[in-house]
Amino acid sequence: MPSIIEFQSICKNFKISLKNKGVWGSFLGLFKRKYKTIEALQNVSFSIEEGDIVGYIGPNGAGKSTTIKIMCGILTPTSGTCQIAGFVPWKDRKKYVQHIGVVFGQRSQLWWDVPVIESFELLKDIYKIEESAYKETLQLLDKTLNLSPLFHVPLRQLSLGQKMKCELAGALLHKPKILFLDEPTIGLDAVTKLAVRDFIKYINKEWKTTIILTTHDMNDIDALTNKIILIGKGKVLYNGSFSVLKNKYARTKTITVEFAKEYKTIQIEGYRVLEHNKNVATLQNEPTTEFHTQHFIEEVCKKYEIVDFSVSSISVDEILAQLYKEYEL
Amino acid sequence: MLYQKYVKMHIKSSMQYRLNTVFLSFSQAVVAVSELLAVYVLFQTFTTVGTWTFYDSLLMFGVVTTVFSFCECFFRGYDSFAEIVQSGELDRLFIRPVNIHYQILGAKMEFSKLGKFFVGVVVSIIAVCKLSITWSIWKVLVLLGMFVCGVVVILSLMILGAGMSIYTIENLEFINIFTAGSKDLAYYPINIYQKWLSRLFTYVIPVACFNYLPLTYLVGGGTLLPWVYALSPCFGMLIMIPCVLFFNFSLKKYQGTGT
Amino acid sequence: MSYVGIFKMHLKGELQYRGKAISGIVTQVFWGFMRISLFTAFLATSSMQDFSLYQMSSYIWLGQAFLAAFYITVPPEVNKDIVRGDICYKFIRPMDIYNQWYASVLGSKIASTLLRFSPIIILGFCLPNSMGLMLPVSFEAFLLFCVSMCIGVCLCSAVILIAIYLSIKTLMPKGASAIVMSVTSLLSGALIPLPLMPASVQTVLNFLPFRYMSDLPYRIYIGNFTIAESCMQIGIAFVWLVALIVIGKLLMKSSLKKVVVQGG
Repeated sequence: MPSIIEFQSICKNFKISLKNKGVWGSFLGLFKRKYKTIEALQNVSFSIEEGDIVGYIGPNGAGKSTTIKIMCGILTPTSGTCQIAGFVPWKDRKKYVQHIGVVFGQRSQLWWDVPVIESFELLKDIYKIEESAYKETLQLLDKTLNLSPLFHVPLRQLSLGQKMKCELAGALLHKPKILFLDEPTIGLDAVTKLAVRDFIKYINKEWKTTIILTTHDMNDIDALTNKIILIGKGKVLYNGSFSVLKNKYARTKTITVEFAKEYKTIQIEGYRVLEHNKNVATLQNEPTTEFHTQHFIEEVCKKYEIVDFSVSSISVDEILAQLYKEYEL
Repeated sequence: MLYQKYVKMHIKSSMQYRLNTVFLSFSQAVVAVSELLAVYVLFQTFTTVGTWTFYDSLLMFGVVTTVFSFCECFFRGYDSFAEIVQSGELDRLFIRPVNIHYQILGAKMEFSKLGKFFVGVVVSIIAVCKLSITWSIWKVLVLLGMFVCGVVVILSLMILGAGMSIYTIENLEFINIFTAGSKDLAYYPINIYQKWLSRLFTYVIPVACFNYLPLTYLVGGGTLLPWVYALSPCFGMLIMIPCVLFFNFSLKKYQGTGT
Repeated sequence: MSYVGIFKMHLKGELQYRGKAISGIVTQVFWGFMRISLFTAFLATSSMQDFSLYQMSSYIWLGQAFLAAFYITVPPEVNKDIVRGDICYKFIRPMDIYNQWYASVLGSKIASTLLRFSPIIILGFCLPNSMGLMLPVSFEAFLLFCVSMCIGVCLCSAVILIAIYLSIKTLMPKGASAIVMSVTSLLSGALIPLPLMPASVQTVLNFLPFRYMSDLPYRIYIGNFTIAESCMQIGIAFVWLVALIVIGKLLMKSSLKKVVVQGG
């Protein structure tokens, strides 16, 4: 597959003014102000292949939205080159944006006070979509998202989930090659979240749309993407398959064991005791030890008498927390 | 045309708040009328200023009110550009395959200003009837030119202010000097003010070009050749060029720095 | 929150913005020159007995310096509450809503005035006689000016509270405050100084509360009134102040009842 997004050593610096504290400080601020340069992105390089769904993750302030803004052509980078779908985003803007769709989770592109369908019609004119193509796309979107009951309701009367469905449809009316989703599931209930995820997957499969997704919800990442780019403090920290990362951390298992009686100390080779309370203990395998159920039972039963035990894997949220910890974010 | 669609959407939006729009329109009319009363009261005490009588001022009040409310209604996008920047809507404009200026024109409209517009038009008509002018086709053209020039000048100032709002959200009151200032000054002949003021509002901000210069042509008199007065509205419109250039430059800057 | 706390909060808020205060002052100075220039042109056509050029320019500079004190506007936070419909929660609180808003309005007025008035006053003193600010005509006049200023600002706040009531009543704060503001600025002499109006208009305005806000203190300052006249007028201003506060409280209470009934 050819790469559709090519990001090469992009840097972006911002100058921000510092605010002083207290009444006196802010009074001084009337006359003099200090500035500080912030390197929002430092040498960021990556490439994304056509048809991929990529999760772009990182803590707040890591440079996620700056990257998205550069990719959308809203910001120009301080240095570096970028090619998306054969365009440099901030040059030849009008032609380029015809190929992208953007959903900002907390901002709407639809009109607040008019029925949704009329916003769509306006978008049709803005993107100069042919009537027949528009109808066809709308039908498909309606079929998958079940939108038609919402068409004639003003946006302000819709629930958060309904709004998000409409936003997604609005961003896809012109069948963009690339779709940017900034926190698409924020604040949604469980059912809608699943529906939105299914829809994203469907569009990706049906239209081969490349999708770049920023989110704090690791379950989104788990359900949707196979590739992630982890960014922190303006640098790319990890770029690759999510399953590899998951496997790496999923090797760590947490085992809860119930013993037949109370032991004073519990020691099993290759395992750490996280918690020990009366006759129940929580254990975790050391990074060097591969967890193996039969092997583990044999090992425990040599020394202790057990009643019951359960094994659980680390959750995706914990993976992210561990990652952040590892990179000191 | 896309612009018509924008207008339609705005009309539909404000129809959702019909009572509010009507009440706001009414309040805008009240604002205009109380300003008119201020002009009237002043001429009650003094009867003339410079070469002007109340009806000259009345025509100017009509022109300025009409032009201003027209701009506030249809060029609201530039007028409240600071809001567009702060709410992040500007980002949205960049990701649409339509010219940015076109989108700003379509982004916001404020139909409640039409209350003021109505007052302005009525006052203009009354003043034109009351002034003793011997009408000719040229004079009609110059009168229309006053309105057009007024719209262009006010729009240019709004564009200038919009450009400034990209750099600062705090210093915007400053631009009021030029927008609201040119409004309040223009009720009276620009040449009665102190030299530096009348020069500023003739050569830098060409308020005089839709004020006493063309009015001199309409009512006669003046020391310069008549065509200078007649063509003055055309000169005034040139202010648009630097303002638009500055705005485009500011947009480039925004792409460099964000907010 | 204590009243001192409310005031401090506003002062801090005002100081937050470097440019806003400075550009506000610059704008007001420019406006002052503009208005003086205009009225000078009018006074050149026929001069007035009790309103000389110097008195006129002093009146204008005082008006510019204390613009924030007499500016009529519904506070943005109240505006937001009304538009969003959160206003009913305010009425549930066990505090007197009128007092709370009054303190807030007065606090923001004092804070923004204190921050802005001095540069304009100093500039006014430095300008030549025909366009500058004179010293108060006498020490007594100055004292009376201070007293009437205090009453004037309180009176103005009471008018704003009535504007707030109208905003709640109509649920359209923008329109309501625009009407109150434009009518008040015409009748209080903020658009055209009262002495430049015909005598008949002035007589009518004497029977309305608006000119006791800013016109009275400024004219005490420039020596339009004798000490006795000033004292009597201050007395009238005080009566208006009490009356408007009582009216405002009654109105607010009536709208409170309505909210309770609606809330059912």
